[in-house]
Amino acid sequence: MKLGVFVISWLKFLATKTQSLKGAQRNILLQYKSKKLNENNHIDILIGKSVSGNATPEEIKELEQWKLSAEENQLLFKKSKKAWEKSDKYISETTLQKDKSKLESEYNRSLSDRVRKMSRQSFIYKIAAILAFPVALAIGWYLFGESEKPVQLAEQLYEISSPKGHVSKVKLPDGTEVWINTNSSIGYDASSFNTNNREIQLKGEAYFEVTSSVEKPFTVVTPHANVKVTGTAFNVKAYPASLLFETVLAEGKIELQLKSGTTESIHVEPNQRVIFNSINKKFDVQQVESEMFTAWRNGEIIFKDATLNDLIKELERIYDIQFHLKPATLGELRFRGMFSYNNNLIEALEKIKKSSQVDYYIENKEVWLKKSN
Amino acid sequence: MTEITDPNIFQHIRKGDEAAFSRLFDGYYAALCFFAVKYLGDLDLSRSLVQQVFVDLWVKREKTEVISSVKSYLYRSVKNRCIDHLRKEKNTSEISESVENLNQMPFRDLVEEAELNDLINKSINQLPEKCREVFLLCRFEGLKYAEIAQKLNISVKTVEMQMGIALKKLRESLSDYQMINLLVFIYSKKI
Repeated sequence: MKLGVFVISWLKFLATKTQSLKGAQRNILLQYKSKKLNENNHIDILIGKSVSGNATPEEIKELEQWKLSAEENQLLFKKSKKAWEKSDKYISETTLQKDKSKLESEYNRSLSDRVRKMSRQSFIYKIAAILAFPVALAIGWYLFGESEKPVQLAEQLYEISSPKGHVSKVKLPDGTEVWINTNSSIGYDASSFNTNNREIQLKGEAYFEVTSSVEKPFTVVTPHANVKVTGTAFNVKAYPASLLFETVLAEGKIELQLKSGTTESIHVEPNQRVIFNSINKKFDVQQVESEMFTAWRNGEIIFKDATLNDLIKELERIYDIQFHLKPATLGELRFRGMFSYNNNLIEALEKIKKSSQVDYYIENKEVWLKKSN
Repeated sequence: MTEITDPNIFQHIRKGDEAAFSRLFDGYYAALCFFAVKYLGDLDLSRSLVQQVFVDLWVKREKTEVISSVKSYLYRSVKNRCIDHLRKEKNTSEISESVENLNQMPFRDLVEEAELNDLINKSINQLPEKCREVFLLCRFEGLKYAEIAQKLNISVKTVEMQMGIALKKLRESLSDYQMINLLVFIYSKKI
């Protein structure tokens, strides 16, 4: 090995020697034979024209003569031709750098794929939990059947919740269908539900399609307000941590009873959205397209002129991940568009990136959004 | 040539050294793309495939054993991935034949060929900006000298000069490459 290294360094030494000699020679040439250099220049131009197909017949003839005049000329031309042929594929410096920076997002994507694979296991348990519900329901059904007779039943509380990132749909004993949004739950007492009223508790957001029954009104109970209906389709959003309550009516009619502010009930019309603020006890009625507020039940969220802050709030809720903005004013950016719950986080982030000047990176399982350059 | 000389580079990468990984990318990425193109024919596809090889290497860095050299590991990974891709993409009968043909091509020749492409690519990127612009328009847009002159608002004479310079530089980088080959040859003979 040592011998090899020696040989290499020796060869290198020789090479530099010859090069410096060549350099010296070139200097002399520069001083005394500038005419010759011009000739070289002329030949280079001819070679360029020839290999790129820009030479005239006369120029080709001239080049042929030059090639024949010396063997080294022949070699020089061959090398030029080879260089031209081997340059048929090209990657620019900017592309190379772009590809390099792409590695990071590709890496994050492959990480999130792995996370998804892992969370699939815990998802099985969630499915088991969802499947367990109909069984509970069947028992409830059975007990209701029994309760037609004047039998005193102890409280039987059921709670059905949607895991993070998923929407669950359940059918209540009275046939009412409920879509429970991610990270939300409904609860009811099976021993009294559907006897002389239908009362359910809601934590979070749910969309209801209530079967019609005038004698057994359906009530959604939340901390700040109750919604009383006889048969209709509507959305209620009342997250425990939120000071706001809101409901959107898709069809039929509902009666809203606020727990503070006014004792009068509010009658809501289809395509109206009522927002109640529990701090100042004020409520606001807006005309809306109800579809915008209920699309989540199909696994979609529609944003129409929302700020990035609004959007992040939703994404944090769905994916259970913390977002940061750099700078914070980025949150004022406005968006419109649709996200699907079926998208993974990276797809959602890519969507934001494509539609705006916002780039992202993931660090310590938290997402950072920043202005892209 | 930016040959990676550090024999322990992969040890650094295994420990999570991002700078070492970045050096590895700079040293081999373009050449690997030119290598993949020989199998796939499409440069964009080759780029994304080679990127995936690098991502996988980083993801599985702790589990990966590089037995011979990082270089041959990278080329073999790219080759396998290209063949997998071709198998998936095309009809089985039609493809098995062309994959066979590719398999029969001497691996070492393809690697050398790719390194040559890389070398030329580097010298194109090192050309003075104006010179490179002229060369790219000629080589990849297939424009005639007069068209290039018009497009860049320069004289045909300047185009001729720049093309002459470009080819001279490219052919000089080719000489370097052949020099290195010669060195390696002498070196191995002496041992």
